[in-house]
Amino acid sequence: MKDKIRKYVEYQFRFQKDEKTQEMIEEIIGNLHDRYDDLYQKYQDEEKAYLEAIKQMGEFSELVETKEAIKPSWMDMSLVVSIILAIFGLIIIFFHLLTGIIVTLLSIALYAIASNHLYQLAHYAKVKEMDIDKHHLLISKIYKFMKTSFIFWAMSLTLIISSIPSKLLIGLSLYYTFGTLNPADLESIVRISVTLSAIVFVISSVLISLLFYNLYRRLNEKYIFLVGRPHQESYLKDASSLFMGSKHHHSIFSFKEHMTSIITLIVVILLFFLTASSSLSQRVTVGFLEFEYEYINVFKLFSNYPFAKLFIFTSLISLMTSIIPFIRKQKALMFNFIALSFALLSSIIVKIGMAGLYSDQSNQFVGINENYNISVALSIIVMIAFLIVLIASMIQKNEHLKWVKTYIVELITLGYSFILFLISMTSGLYKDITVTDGVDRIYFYVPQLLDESLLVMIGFGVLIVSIMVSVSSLIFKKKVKFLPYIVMFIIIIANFLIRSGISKIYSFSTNYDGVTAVYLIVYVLALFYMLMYTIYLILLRKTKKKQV
Amino acid sequence: MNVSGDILRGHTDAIILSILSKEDNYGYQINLEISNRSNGLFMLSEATLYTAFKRLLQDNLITSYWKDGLYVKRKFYSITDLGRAYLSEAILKWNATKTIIDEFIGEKK
Repeated sequence: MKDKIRKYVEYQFRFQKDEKTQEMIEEIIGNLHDRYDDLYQKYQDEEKAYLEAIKQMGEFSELVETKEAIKPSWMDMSLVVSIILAIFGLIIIFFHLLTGIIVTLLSIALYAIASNHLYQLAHYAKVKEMDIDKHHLLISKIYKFMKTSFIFWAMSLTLIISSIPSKLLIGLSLYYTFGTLNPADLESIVRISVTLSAIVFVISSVLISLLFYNLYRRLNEKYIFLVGRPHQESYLKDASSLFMGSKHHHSIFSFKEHMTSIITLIVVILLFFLTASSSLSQRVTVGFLEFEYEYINVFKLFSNYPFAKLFIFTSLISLMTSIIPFIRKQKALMFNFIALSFALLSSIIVKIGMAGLYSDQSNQFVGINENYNISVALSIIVMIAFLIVLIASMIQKNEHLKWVKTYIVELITLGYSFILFLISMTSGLYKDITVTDGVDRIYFYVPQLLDESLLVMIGFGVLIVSIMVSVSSLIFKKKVKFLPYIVMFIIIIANFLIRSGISKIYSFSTNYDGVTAVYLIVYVLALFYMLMYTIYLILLRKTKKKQV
Repeated sequence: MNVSGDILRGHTDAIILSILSKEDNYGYQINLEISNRSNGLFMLSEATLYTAFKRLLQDNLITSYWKDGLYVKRKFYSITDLGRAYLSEAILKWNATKTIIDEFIGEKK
């Protein structure tokens, strides 16, 4: 019976081979033996004593850190990242084909590498370790996300293939008829290319669906051959249970743990698209017509200017670094910090590059959007806000730096709020007045615009509230927890209201609303981040209290 | 009679240290003593017990060593000086808390 106890305990911890677990297994077995002896004295029945001893022992999974027991390897995370990229790839294709293709290919490559490694590991587990359970588990991991990935890849590839003929047709037509093409021909070329794309779409969707279906069927047969039973259905449910957890295991994805990384990733992606628009306008001559194209994105400047390449390079580093924390939980904050720093760097690179292009002697670019400076300044401010909160999180987690946290973090956050407050006071609007010796530019500050817009007035009111909150807490010397964050929330709301109000006043500018809309998203994210961070702090304190 | 598990669990560390302050002991015996001294009303789950050991070891309040038994090796725990200081403080705190709670919801004199 004692051997049976040993086998039972060893089976429970079969996936953990580290020294500490082995030591704990010995300790548990020792204690279970004593428990069994006592119960045997009581019942005089070996089977009953064994069952009772195991039952009293309780749930084994609680004994070890379950997350450690099923700690996902880089392969698991690669599969998860691959499916996320597959979904993103499909969405990105609609906005930017080349980026969509890169993301989709990256997703396929990640899946292929991770699957191959898992397959080799499974083979090793079967042949060398003689562990069939582990072999089946590793094989099933490969198949877990396969169906979903196949669906997204098939859709992405169909879209990619169907867009190629139209791109080629338009490109070649413009190349061979440069300077001689008239608008009517251009219209007919566009019409033909759209029809061509539709036909290719239908054909390629059928062919690719068939291809992926057959591939899936054959791989399923391979699964039955390897494991001896059909693969379980409901892959998405399995995938979601991996993230959300189930009654059998904890989630590998703790929202609380990954919150900073998720927000970092979202901000990095958002800033990438935000920075990618150059806000330059270009004069282009087609035949006798002269167009002024606006919203040229950075990718179109790729061939001529090194800053565009640098932007892609730093953005890629930023994106890659922001994914690392999902794979390596240790030092997640450091990687988030690096990701955001590179995103910030890419923004600055583009800003400098734009300035260079605008002063280009060839005069190829005729204008730069008036709000560009404001938008870049705002994006840098938002980035700095995130960096500050990240530094705060780092300090929070480091025991030796707790004193810094107590005194400095609140001050930094309040300092940031103060800067935001000052920025909120500037409207970005100006008026040129002709004077005797030239032109004078008068800038308008928010208090001067209160009569112009109700939103600005409300925003200004909210700003005043934020000052009152700060001052009242100082007067009453009441220790308000999270005060800096509360003040920051209020100021961000005020800032947003003021920007929206100004956009209404500035209605003669065509794209001010667009910029405001983009910043609405960034602000909402910032707000969401702060809110989540506050909830996280509350939870942290509650957990600590519970532990005490 | 029902006992408040929450209150007892809040004092797991002190309970274990108090048992170890008498003599070195190992997991099963410690749990058995808790059960016996509480007339079977309170017993720690294995998970709680091992987590507590881990925590106490990390905080240097106890140390551990292996001893050969009849069939298996046993891991014994021993209280450290720091552990004794912690226990003394925990006793003082508990007595102060107990006085306050007794004042309000204790047995009527």
